[in-house]
Amino acid sequence: MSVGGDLRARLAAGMVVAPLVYDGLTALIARRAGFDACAISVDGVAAQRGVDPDLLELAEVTDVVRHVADAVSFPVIVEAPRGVRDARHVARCAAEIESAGAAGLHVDTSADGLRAALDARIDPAFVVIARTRLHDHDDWSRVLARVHALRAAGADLVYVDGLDGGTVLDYCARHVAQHGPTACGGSMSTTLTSALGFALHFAGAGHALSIAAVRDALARVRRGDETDRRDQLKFDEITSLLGLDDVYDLEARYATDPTKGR
Amino acid sequence: MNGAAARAALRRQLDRGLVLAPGIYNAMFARLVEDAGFTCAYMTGFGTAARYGVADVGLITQTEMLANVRAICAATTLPVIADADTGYGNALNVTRTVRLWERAGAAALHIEDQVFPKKCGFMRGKQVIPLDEAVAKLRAALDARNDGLVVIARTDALAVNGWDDVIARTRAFADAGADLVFVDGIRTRDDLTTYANELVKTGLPCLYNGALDSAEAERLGFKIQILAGLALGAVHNATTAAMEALRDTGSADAVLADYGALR
Repeated sequence: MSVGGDLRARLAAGMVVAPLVYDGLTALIARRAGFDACAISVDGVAAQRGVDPDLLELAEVTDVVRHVADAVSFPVIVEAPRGVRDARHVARCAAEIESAGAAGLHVDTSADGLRAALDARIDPAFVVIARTRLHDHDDWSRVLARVHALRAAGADLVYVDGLDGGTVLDYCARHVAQHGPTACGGSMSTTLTSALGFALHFAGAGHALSIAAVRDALARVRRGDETDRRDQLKFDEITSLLGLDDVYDLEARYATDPTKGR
Repeated sequence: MNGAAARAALRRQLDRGLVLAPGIYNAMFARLVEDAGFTCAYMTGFGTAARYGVADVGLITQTEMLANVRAICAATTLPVIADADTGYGNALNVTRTVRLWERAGAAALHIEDQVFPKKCGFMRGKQVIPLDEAVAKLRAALDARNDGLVVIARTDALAVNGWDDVIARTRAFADAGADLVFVDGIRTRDDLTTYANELVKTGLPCLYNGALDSAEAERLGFKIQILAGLALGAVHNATTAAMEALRDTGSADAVLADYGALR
């Protein structure tokens, strides 16, 4: 099955929780924890590369998609770079992200842009998610109109971005998620969003936690504090996660005797 | 930072005392090192490989490593000491590696005497090239630099051949003109003591890769201490806790709060 088909099968089985990752290591940690999908955000990739998120290029995103998809065998869902809105850009973006190994993408575009993404698919199972942002004091009738137009254009899912839980989340569940496949993102509990009928939840601590953890470790070194060792490198655990056992197995399998064949 | 200025800054720091360089593997963490008040950063190949989701066994190419050197040097004004593995081949490859690393903005690099493809200094199954070949590669590195790049000669011979060979190799590296030498794979207190007594105290400028308190590393006379696994360990442990919390409770907020990062 293609990765797109794999994602569709998982979506059909229940809500998919896709934790945010930004490199091969964090994707492998998600897989080890038992998740069966992950998500790559523009903010995460931009932060990791030290680039302004508004300036992040498609090639910088696909580079990360390629090594994440190569590291984990489960579906990777990718946010299209900012500013990619018009049909030609969306089409190229979808094709590039799919060929980098993603199972799906989400993009904030018009119904026309969405149709361009759908037409650009190589594998018809590649999942195209139309994102629309809920702005402060947004008029719900306008949000619902956008959702309706995006579904009519063929969106596999609609992602209502900007839900922080509370009454907005309940409203969105009743009026959007319970009428068609809907994604959400944020720190509200995945138990709740699953019960409310969402199909996909982009969740987790992502790069923000890595920043906090590294800052914490650096401050500890600055203080000369040797007691707090939550940054201690668990060498065997990490090398095993990164596939060192397989490396030794492959070396043994393809070992040759250097004294022969000369 | 401008590469030449960073290299001059690192050389000034080396004249003053121990240079402590936390290990990072992306541009984001390089900025954090600078924000925290350190004067130097270390780009780890182990971490760069982890970023690509693979083990540090020579799978990462020169191109991939270079992309990370470039992104990291562009993100910080600090001098960056960058891992250059084996130089990705023979003396000819080393020549190109040194030019590329220098142009990318590195202040220093280290090149090791392992057989290509290499392995992380703390893994089993390492092999080293003959000493004369290692010295030839080092000479190629020294000849290839043209703008003050600090060249650190690393040996992996400790786990392979023991201290006598390590001492012979590092002395040969220093005689050939290496700015510093670096004995990797120091695991025990005994090995650290031998490193200090047999090499540092004879006047060889030495790099120490380990988590010993930096005041003590300075007292022992080391010129550079790298904390190669610092960011990698912190990220691995925090992200593991967050993924498990998300799986078990439906939210990673408790872990974010624990690290003071709750929005």
